[in-house]
Amino acid sequence: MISARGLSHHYGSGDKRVEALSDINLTVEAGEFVAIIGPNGSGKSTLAKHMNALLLPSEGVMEIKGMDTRDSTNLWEIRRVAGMVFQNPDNQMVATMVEEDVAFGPENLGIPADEIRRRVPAALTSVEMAGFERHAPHHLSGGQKQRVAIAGILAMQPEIIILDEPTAMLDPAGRREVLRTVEKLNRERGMTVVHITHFMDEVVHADRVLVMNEGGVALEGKPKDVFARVQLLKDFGLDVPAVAELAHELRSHGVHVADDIMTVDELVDALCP
Amino acid sequence: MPIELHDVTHVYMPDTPHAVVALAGVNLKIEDGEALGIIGPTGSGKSTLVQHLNGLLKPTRGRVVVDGHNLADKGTSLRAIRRKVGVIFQYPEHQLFEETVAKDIAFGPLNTGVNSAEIGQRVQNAMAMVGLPPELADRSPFELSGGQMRRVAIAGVLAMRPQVLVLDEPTAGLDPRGRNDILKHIQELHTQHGVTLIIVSHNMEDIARMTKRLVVMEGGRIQMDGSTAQVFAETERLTEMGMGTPQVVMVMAGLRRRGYCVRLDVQTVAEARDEILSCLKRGQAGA
Repeated sequence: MISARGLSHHYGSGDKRVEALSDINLTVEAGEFVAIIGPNGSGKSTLAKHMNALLLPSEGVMEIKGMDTRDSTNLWEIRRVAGMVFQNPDNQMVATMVEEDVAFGPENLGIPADEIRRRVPAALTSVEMAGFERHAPHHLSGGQKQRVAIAGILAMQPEIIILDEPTAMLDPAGRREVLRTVEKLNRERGMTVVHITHFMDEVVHADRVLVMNEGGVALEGKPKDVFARVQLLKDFGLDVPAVAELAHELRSHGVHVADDIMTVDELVDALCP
Repeated sequence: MPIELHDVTHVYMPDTPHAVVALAGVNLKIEDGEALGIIGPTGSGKSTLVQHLNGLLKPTRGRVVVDGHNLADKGTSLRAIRRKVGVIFQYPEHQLFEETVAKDIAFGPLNTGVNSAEIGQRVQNAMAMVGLPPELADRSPFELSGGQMRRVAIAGVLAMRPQVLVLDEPTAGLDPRGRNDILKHIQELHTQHGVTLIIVSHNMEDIARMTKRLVVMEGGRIQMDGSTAQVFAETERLTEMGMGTPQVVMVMAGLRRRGYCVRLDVQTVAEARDEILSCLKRGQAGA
């Protein structure tokens, strides 16, 4: 679904040239849930912006569903197929009413009005925001705004959702709402999800985790395998979820618990056989 | 410099159909040298409360008393209060504007009449306190990383030499390393310079690490107020309010349900580890 081959990206030129991504090779399958973590400046957002052609490779190729992002005739179709949700919900709201906001994307694609009228309520239902059609976006909570932003993407009937730190500005309840929505879309509709986050506990349910560092993919694997590398992650300036760290600490003090524990329930089960 | 809120009520747009009661009869006393956390769902009144602490908002009813001065009294200098109570809002780096880091940090003290000989000293000290290397002083703040920009903004408030530091979501949007750096330096301000800390956050791990007392707000009222460890031990009540608890507390609560008699009032991974190890040693497994 997403394929990067030898992808490099640099900003500026001469002395000011910054290598943001270097030689990325990456494949994301249809229906996969991939989480991307890494310190600030490691290239996560730059990579994400290549996935819907907001940025183009300096070298190498990025293909979305077989479409080369450098071919400008593919642009509209790529942005329909791969929708993007950003960090700050307030910067993404364009209309004065929720339903107009959700309709904005499909209107720009030239979808007929009748069809939009069908899609908008369906999209709002998918994110559990049915009934809010005539509400003003600025009166919603952060979690609700992000779900409206996701609905706006769903109304374009995409196959990939890319989320660039969508929960960074939300309270714990808002974070849970957004994550539950995204996980449901992945599980029940087979939506391909690329989720960028600094919250390590949001990564544990992904199919695969990519750890980025200095413009490259430094580590890749199932969440269990990645979080077992406690020391390496710390060297990158990353954390592991507190539970994984606690399990690691207990193990190094001779308590027999597995080395791939990531959730509260797993640790409790391991300690209470 | 104790801060006291007596029965503080704040209504936005009073006497209109859009009136919203953001604070409803809040009583709170913050003593010198405390490290206080404030949590609560979005819209619970946290930010409104914070803006009362240095007179940015005035109570609709009730009194705010800082260092013995009622902020509503004509004789009270809000300028003087704002020098003592420094407030750092969310994403403070958005408020940077000067050409160099040093000029940006100097802006506050220059405006309050600090002489130029002392300014240089204050800027240096403030940069050291947040761990910014001196060679960044002449750089443009806009060339720095997000974590560094945030530290410049915090240094700008520290250059005013506040006795109370109020931080609204100090780590939002930072990566784990940037977050660790900032929290470490804020912690030092508290332990080494005796600055009173008031931290508003959605990040329960940060609250557990930084605070000793915790206030939980909901619907414009203080619902819980106690030691951070005791408040987090009320896992079910916090979950009902849409709040989280640190993961280590959830592990302890899970172990309790399975018959282990472990303490719930742990705040860090190290404390949880020690408690579990000593419990295993005592052989108190219920299973």
